Amino acid sequence: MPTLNIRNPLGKGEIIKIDQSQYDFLVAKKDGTESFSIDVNGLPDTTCNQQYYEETVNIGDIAADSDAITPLIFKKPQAVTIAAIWMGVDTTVGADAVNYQTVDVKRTSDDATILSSAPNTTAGLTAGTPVTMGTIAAEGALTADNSLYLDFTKTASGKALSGFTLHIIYTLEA
Amino acid sequence: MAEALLLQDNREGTDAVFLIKDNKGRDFIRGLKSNTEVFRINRFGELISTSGYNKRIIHIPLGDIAADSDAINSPLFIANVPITISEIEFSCDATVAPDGTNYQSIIVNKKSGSSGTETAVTAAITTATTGFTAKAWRASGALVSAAAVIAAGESVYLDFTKAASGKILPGFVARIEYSINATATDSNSASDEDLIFNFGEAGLSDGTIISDQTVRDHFSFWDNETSPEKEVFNVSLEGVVSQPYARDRFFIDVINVGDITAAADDAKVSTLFKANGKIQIEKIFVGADTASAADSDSAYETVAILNGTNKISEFTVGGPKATGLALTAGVLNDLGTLNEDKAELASGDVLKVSYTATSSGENISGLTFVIVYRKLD
Repeated sequence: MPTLNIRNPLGKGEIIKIDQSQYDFLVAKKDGTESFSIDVNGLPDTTCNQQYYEETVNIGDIAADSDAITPLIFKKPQAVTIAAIWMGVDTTVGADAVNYQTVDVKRTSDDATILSSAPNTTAGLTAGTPVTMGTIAAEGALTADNSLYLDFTKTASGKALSGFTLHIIYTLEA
Repeated sequence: MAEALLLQDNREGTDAVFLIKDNKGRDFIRGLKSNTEVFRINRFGELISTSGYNKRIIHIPLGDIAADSDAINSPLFIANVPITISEIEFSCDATVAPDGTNYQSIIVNKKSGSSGTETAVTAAITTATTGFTAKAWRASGALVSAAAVIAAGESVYLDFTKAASGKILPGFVARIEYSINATATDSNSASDEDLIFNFGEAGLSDGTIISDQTVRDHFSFWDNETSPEKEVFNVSLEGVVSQPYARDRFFIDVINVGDITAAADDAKVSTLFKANGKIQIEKIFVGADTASAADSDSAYETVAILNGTNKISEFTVGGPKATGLALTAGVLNDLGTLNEDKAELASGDVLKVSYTATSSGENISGLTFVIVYRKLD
């Protein structure tokens, strides 16, 4: 039996009304550890995989020398934390330790890189198989309306990337 | 020890701790911060919040827009539920200087299906007096209020018009901010006397309503007006939220995979989505920026959408005449029934697209996918 059981109450308005200014509205815990909540600003939060949001951004074909371009890829009107970014291509790129592309992700507010270490294509990329861009640095915590952009750096003659695609995983922050 | 106005701590039983069943169309919970509503869980199980939770975004890179792009309509968005667009912005990957003679005009339109009437969603902007600055967004033209409400199944697309020789827009990206329209945003007219619980400030140090369990679901809200009754909102022990009838249970991703060259691109594999958590693909829409008729029984392009090696859906462009998908520039088409048991992605799974030409195949310009999905865990 439920502990609090409200069944077919009379009336028209909402059943439960809470008006306060400081505390979470709802808190659900599993054995003392919070698993879900709705905070004082109405923001729901969960510790399960539903906390993650995903967006795929296909930049398209990147020329071997793309040092001059800085495509914007992300902006959210709310504070977020970037949890992971995966990159991939639609056509296999062979391993090449001489001519390669380094891809960095930066934020517009201060041009800081959000990756702990910008990855490169020396090991090659397999079509349709995204690879992680590595650990997200503390700069991956973005304030509202802070944008992300890509910064390419070629080594030697660089490396063309066909159908360059990013998968951005993030969480919402209060 | 947590302080709460209503605390249920390790209660024995198997039902959800807090169970509400209502047969009068009442919303379940309404939360106000100093008398201003910040969230509610309505009678459909929809969570309506003034925080950023309801603000969704998509980014659609379109590559380089040619100086003369008058012939293309680039698909941007479609949804299976009504939505409202609140902001559209554009960017280029390099600076574009203004040019009062040779410039590009950009407008966002919508239509329902290939034969629908085109309606402007925004006013037009041009690069005549204002260009683009690298690493900066530029707002679209003003949203047309009524048109910014997009019905389920309406296609939203970009339309370019050149003046004189036009203007190249390098690495063009469109960004759309939107929210899913709740089925209802207010409870049937309320008076506080109708409330079952009416909480205010009370010197708390934790939440107002707290459930701390080891076995049971926390919250379970039911619509008792229907027959049979149905659960519309549930928070499990693990914090997984289920909203089986809510519009906001859907999430949308838009991916432009670019131009597909018949036969030459048979080896291409485009990635549409990488699951982080268990995902159920609900719908897939597809479109292109240039029309293509299904007018050949011998030469056409087969496009397969795969979860690993498992086919979720497939369509053909350019033919065959009886079954091929006819494309109208800018219009997104529902691929219909998916192979459902393959459409559930485990965490880490990648949704991919493969291309196969029959005979000389068919070119597809600005191929765009819209993926509608639910998060399961």
